Amino acid sequence: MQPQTIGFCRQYDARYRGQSFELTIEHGVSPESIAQRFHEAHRARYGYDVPGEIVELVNARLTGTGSLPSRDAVPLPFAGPAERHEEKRRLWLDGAFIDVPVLQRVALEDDTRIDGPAIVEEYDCTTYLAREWSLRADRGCCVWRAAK
Amino acid sequence: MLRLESGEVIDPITAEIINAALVYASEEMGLALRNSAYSPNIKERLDHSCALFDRHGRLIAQAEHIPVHLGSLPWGLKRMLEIVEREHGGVREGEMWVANDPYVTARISTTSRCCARSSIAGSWPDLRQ
Repeated sequence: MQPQTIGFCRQYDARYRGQSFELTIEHGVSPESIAQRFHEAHRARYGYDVPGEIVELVNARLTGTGSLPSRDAVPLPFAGPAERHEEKRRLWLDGAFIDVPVLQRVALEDDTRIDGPAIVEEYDCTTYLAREWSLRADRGCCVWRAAK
Repeated sequence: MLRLESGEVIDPITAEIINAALVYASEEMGLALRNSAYSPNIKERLDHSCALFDRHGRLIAQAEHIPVHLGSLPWGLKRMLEIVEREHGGVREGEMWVANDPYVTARISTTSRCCARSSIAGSWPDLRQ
């Protein structure tokens, strides 16, 4: 992690003295500016504030975040046409049975495009592609659905 | 389509969406009251109830809060509005009225905006300003 990608965020959980629920506000340069932020947050949340009321700080928070370089998704191995075993299945659609193709997801080649209606199966889930949709498969074995 | 007694026709889906939004608005009133309250009776014990009424004081939506409040809120508000009307000429926009006379109504506060009013039944110790 590079030092320049690390950032810090200072926040307070604050409330009017006597309340039991806090609002989280950003750090301010002085006690007065922190109180002012709380009055504004209270007005934004509840529709009113109480100028002059004592503001209590219940928690002070410091959050550090660092961003890691993103990694490319690992492409899944293409099972190839051997896994294809295309079949059709009868589906009740719009008041009638029609034969709908059933495809194996691991056997979809990169950039395959298919129009609905169709069924895409894999070992742990099934994707139904309605008549007005089409799909595109990519190398990560993702299936992207879009309206035709 | 639903046909009302007045002859007006409304879409039942739109009616249900508006109904759910109004009920949730009264639920949110309760959350805002609890989270900003000073009285332990409200912030800890949740002894409060919220509802929305139309300009005539007719109940529109109630949150699922305290049953004994919810049963009395519409009647208490009706009595309170009658007295405010007689002695003050009615509730003006932006005003808040608060009552604790048990012969009129149990602890109710009501505010009026535009064409609706929101009302709360809750405990008095929270009124400190």
